[in-house]
Amino acid sequence: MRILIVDDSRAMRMIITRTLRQAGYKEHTVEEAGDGAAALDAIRASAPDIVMSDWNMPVMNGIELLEELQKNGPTPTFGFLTTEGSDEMRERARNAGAKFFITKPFTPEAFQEALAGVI
Amino acid sequence: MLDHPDTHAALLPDQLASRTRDVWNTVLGLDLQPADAAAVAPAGGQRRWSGCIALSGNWRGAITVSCLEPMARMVSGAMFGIEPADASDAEIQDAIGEIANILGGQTKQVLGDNCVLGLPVVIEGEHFETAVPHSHAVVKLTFRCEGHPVDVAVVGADARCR
Repeated sequence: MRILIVDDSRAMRMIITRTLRQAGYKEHTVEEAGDGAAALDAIRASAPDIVMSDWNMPVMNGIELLEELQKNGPTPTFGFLTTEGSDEMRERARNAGAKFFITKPFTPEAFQEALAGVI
Repeated sequence: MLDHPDTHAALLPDQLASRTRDVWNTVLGLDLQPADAAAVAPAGGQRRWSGCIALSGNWRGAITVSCLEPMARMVSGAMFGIEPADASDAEIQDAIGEIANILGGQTKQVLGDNCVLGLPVVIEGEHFETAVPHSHAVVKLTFRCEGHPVDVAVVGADARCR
């Protein structure tokens, strides 16, 4: 599988990649984007299987990215990794089509729990 | 969940201290211990890094995390998986900004979720103060990590600015 990690922090993208490996997802190809707009270009250019996106980013945030994908495609499996995990945000994400929601800080176990059945 | 921090100021420090220590441990793999501010006050003339993120909406204010250069390098080294001495300024800026972002999310959860996080701002230098106009101190926490001071502060907008 090809996984696109979307986060405006390069450090966080590295931590997410590392945590994926620690959680046992070692065989997948990981790509990166620094904001929603860059992710949109990457998704339309290379169609990853899974998108793991931050919510709060410059240029285009995560929910705007998901809503754009739902509206105009394509529609890879999409989930959030974010510092903000309110019930309202989870519901908005779920309604927009998000398949998982992981809050920072996270552990490999949190990845395994959230990604079971997704990857 | 707290509707307003000023009316729960007695509770906020403990919750934020616990969450900050958890962030340090989970994200960085480092132990953060409470410290007396006077005991770890840095001498002048040392390069210091501060990450700040604003909250708006139902509650308005900001959270700031500050540390000296050696600690900032350790934070960056832990996040990027590199030797602290090898961290570039851009990597330190990224790492401190992301730590501020995560602590902002934690603060938001403590204060109540009807507010919105901004994007982090990072400042570095030897002689500077961070100030949010028309605000007042809500919480000031001091920790020690590997012998280095780490300060976390929350300010809330004054009533006329809410």
